[in-house]
Amino acid sequence: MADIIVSILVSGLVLGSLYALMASGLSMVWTTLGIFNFAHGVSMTVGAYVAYEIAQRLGPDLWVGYSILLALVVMAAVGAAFEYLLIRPFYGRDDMVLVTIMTTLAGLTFLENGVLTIWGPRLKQLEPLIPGNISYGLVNISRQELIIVLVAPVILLALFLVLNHTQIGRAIRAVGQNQKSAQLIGIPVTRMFLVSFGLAAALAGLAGMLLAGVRLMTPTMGADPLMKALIVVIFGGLGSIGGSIGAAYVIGFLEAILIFTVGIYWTPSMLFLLMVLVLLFRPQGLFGAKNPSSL
Amino acid sequence: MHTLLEVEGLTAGYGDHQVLNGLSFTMGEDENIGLFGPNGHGKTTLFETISGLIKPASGKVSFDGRDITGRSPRDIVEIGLIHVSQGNRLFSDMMVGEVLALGAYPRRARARMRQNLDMVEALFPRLAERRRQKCGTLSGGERQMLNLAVGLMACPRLLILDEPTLGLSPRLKDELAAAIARIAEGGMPLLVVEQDIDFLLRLTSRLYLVNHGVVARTIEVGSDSFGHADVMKEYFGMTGH
Repeated sequence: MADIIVSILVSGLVLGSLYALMASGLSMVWTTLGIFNFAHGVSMTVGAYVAYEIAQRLGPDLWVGYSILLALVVMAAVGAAFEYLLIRPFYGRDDMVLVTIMTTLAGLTFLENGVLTIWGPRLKQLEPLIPGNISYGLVNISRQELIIVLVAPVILLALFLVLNHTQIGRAIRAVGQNQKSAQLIGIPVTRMFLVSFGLAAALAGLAGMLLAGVRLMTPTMGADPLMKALIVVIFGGLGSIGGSIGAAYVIGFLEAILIFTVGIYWTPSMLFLLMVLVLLFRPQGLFGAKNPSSL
Repeated sequence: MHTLLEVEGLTAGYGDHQVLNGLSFTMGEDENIGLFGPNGHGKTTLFETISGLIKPASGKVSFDGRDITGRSPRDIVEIGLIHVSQGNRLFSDMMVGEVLALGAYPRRARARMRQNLDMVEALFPRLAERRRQKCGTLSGGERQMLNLAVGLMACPRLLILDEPTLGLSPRLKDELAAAIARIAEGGMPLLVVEQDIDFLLRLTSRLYLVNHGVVARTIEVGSDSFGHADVMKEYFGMTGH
């Protein structure tokens, strides 16, 4: 029994870390622009494939970490380009939220099929950052998973510090709360949108690159994490990045427990049921941020 | 006298609704100007056009000899023209200290952030006490103080204030008016919209009456030709004074 509990804990931590990387970006774009980015999951896919491509070109002698760093830069640019091409033309329109549902869905389709066309349907894997497993007592975990569990909180702490203690971070939050006031302070509003899209894509891409070291990558690998990130963001309370990160770990553990108790097929349904219940009884989310009605 | 701000034949509005109909006025470097007039006749629109929030249909705005017509709000803030807008709610989920720091966002204000912070906290000690409190929880008067303080954090060369004491209790109004008077004594040029004519008469050297989207009348403060009583009689006769 103890070994089962330990493996649920480990699996919950790994899932929670990945969801936290995904959900933080989704939540940041929501709080800054007030739109839901359906292409956020595919950023994860593209990130993994871009890192794979860079690793192929640099050759097997070079540590995969360098490819991941390069791929992160590429992903920030991809995110920024996405904002520039598919979101920016519609700023200021009354139906912007609706229009961007369509444009981000279009972007999703475009990128997913782009990945399929460029890299084909065959399963691929990225080298783990450090190969091998670690066994310690009842804990048996691959080194890559351990890296995921350790790196995610560090990255998220860095994100938290940037958002709360730097001018650009404060500016991103300010733009989400009151665009007119932000303009009158001299904050370039659309540039903040670009930055938050780029940052979100890099975070999702990192999740994909790390995951591709433990699982095989496919062109649709981002679909399920997008769904989970959506549940997480609603669970944690729309408009609260911190709440999303907390909720990511809660959902990660819940998923690990559900997979063990009700099985892999019923797990997504149970999670969605939970989301509906949260929306019914605690619409502001578990961690209780208020809705960003100021947008 | 050197001209700081010059507005020439400005027309602007919202969509099809034109509010400014060729408005012109000038402001010198060493003077404070007051704008008054009935609501809905273009004072706020004028300020929003000067600060770049609204693009004018025609006309020209110059600041310190530079043409700033149609420039982005960011460019205009960087030049040093700071607009403290009416009833600005700022950022409800951010702490007072964070919002003050954000006020120093313009490049030209960053190096002076520390000094400016000391200066605004001396001017509004209440904000220093509330540094870790969220903006959304401030009272109307405190929020208005924060608005002014944020404007000062940007190192303004001209501060334009849109009804800075609107909706405040008489006591708070006096407190704000005193703070604004101190800002003016420090040599900051002010362009102020207010309904409180007494306040404008004390603070400014010239008043412009804005009516139907143009400057309908210029009043030199202190000259005997047009005093408080006349203003009251002509435009505020029904406000209960």
